[in-house]
Amino acid sequence: MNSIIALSYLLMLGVLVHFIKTSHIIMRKLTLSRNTAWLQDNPEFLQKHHKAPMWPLYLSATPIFGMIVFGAIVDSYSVLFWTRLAGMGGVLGVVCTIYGLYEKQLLDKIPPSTERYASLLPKTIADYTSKKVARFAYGSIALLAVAYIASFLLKGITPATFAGNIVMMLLIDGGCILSIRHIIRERIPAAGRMQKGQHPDLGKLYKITYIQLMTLVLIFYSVLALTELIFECQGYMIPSPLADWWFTLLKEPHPLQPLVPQAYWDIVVTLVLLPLFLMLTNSKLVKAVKTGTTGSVTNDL
Amino acid sequence: MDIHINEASSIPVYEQIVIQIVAGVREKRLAIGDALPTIRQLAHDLELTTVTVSRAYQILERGRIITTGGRRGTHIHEQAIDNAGRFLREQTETLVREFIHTQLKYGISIDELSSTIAHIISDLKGTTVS
Repeated sequence: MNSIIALSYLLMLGVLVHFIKTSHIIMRKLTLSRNTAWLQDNPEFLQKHHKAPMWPLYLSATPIFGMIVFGAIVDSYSVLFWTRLAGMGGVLGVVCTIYGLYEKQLLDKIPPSTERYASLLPKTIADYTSKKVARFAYGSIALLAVAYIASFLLKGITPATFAGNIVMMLLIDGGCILSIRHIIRERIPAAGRMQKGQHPDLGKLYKITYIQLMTLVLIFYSVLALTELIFECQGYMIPSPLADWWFTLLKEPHPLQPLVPQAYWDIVVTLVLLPLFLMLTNSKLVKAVKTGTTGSVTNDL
Repeated sequence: MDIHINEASSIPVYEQIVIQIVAGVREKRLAIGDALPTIRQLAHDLELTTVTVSRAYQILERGRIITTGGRRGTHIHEQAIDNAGRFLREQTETLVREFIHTQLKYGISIDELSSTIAHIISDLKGTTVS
């Protein structure tokens, strides 16, 4: 059983690494699009920074890969679970933060172009995805919040379960909504520069793909959490070391019976998430990143 | 509608913003009631200080091209199309007056100025100035 779980975790690690790699390549293109005229005058800078370094990512992913294989060999679900949580959630999160800070530093080294553009009309989520999908996504969050409150007030779930559900909802939905707002509002100039000057398709695709992906994640999480809530109201839940830790923290006895072993649940979630990640990795955006576009100083990235 | 600034231009940046918003209204690329970005947002997007964008917005507000309503944000004024023509005439008049006064201080006569301007206008007629 643990070998199958390890396989599903390896799959998850692969798609995460691919996702971070693609994101970093796009970030580097955004950084270098700040001032193409300056880059032409400073070829040594372009030569040094034209490729986003991938070694920190591979260096971090290798021990995680090793720990998953180790977990499969020693047949320990606990090793696999904590490797996924600390490795994929923690270490790769730190790598993303370091990449972000490094790109910010690099961006500050490039002076702004004398000619600059901005969109005068503010953009909303509806500019990048259909209004119906956006409404459905936000509606599903509202429905989930109402369902949590109602099931708590009607004593369908215990205070600790309610608190755990709310914390998870705030973390996942809050993270997605903040990133959507960030991409819509803060990255317009950068994506606009790419559209104007160097990567006309990439600039537009980058925003559309990220916002649609985040919207899909919002809907997916709401459906998943609502399904889980139905089982919780009937006295079942998906057990996990994290849930055990949560109930111990709140000093409440674990009130729910295991619905399925956590391991089965992990495999199901991975298999459901897989089409979503495959859709992204085969998206027009990733193809545009790989092929590049013509007429650019950074075209050879 | 996109806004474009060029720091290498002899026209001050705040004026470039004013010109483009007024042109956007006259050419109907900006409609009555359209929401404009906040001063902070536009300053961030164009990598300018908020003082520069604020100056442009103040001029546009005085000319009743835009209206700022506190938390409701900045919008195109409901009479912006009518006001845009008057605003441009006033701006032109101010600039021409300043120019004429400066030239008079240099000792150029009104007749000389008039003749030079007439000559330039004659040259420009029939050409599109961008």
